[in-house]
Amino acid sequence: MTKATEDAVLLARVADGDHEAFTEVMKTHEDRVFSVCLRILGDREKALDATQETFLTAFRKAHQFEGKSTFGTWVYRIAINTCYDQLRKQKRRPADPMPEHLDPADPAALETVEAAALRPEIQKALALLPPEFRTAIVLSDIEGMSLPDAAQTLGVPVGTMKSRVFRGRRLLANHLGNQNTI
Amino acid sequence: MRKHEIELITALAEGALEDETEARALVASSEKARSEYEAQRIALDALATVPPATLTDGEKATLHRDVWTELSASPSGPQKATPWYFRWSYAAAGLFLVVGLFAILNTGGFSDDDAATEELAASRDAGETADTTVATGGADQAAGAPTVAEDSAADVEAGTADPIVEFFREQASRVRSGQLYPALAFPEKDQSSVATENSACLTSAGLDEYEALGEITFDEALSYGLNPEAPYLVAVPAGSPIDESTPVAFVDLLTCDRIHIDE
Repeated sequence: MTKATEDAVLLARVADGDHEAFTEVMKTHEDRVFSVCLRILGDREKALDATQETFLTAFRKAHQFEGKSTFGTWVYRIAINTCYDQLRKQKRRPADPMPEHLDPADPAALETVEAAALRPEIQKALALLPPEFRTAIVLSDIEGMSLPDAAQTLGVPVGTMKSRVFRGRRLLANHLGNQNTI
Repeated sequence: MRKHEIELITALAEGALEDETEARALVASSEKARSEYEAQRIALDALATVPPATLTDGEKATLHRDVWTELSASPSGPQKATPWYFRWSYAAAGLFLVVGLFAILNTGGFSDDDAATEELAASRDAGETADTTVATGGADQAAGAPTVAEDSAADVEAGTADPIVEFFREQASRVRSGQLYPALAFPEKDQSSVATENSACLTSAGLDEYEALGEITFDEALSYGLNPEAPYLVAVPAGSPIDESTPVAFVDLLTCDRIHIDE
């Protein structure tokens, strides 16, 4: 059985209300979906919302999953579209930063959150990239996806993906303040 | 810079080359290549410091609970695929309706044949419009972000101009009037070698009859406050003098896609 077929079977079980299958799907993909959303949105609370929205959409549209790609590719694509929606909403209605969603009494949680924090200049430079370039860099250079996989996730040709990564890095370097390269 | 040169620089910066001789020579030979290489390295070095991000145990528990609760409660929770025979039954019902309507119209159910014909034509037109809309939406979703060409087509429909198309239009006017041409030319190369080096890219863009004049660089696009949708190759029909009627083509140097032709 291929991975895509296994994924389709698992999703069918979730659709039948199988809690065990649901937990298995969530455990396999939740950290990566969250990581992609966090790096695209730059805010932990918004990334959590986007992660939740992504899985809700994925499970509700599970019947549309045809197994042409893996569930991972499919769900990351949903995650990216969800993040783009959030960015559009954010643009229309800029909000104050929300408080971190964690129990302050839990030192382990605090450690996890702090460990994921970016250096401020990188966070700022990433935030300044146009979303398509930021997403390309997140998938390729942060998540370590191969160019063909990243291209499939975004539904673009590999050449376009290469171009976005190259230009995204160029712009990131620019934003990082290396004016000599520009 | 050519596509091959950009790929060499990228691979060198990523440390993905077994033999770096050609790439190192390229970087050493041109200020522009060196600058591109350094920018790629700076970005990659910075990105290498990005730590992995994971959910805390508390966040995972909340996420599982919230998603499961929402799915269980929502009437639009996990949906099963519609069986194939149901889908066909909808199609059959639709076909039956259309045939029935057609029969009524032809048997004089409506007195005015012309009106019926117009109605059918209108419904056909409406169908075509809907198809176009769906196709556009599908393309957008598939591509993640629309290309400049898609954008400009949409802009024509919406009666608005995309800033980058405006930018190309302006650059094309400058090429035609001879203002931009000297600034565009590759500084380190003669014109015939530029045309030869980029002919494959132009062929790939479906512009066999064109020759490259030069490129609009990342920095030039950036100076116009645009997204860095560059470098673009600028090309005009080969062997013809450049005048006010010359079409000017813009091709993505990395993908060799034809982005825009200003005519």
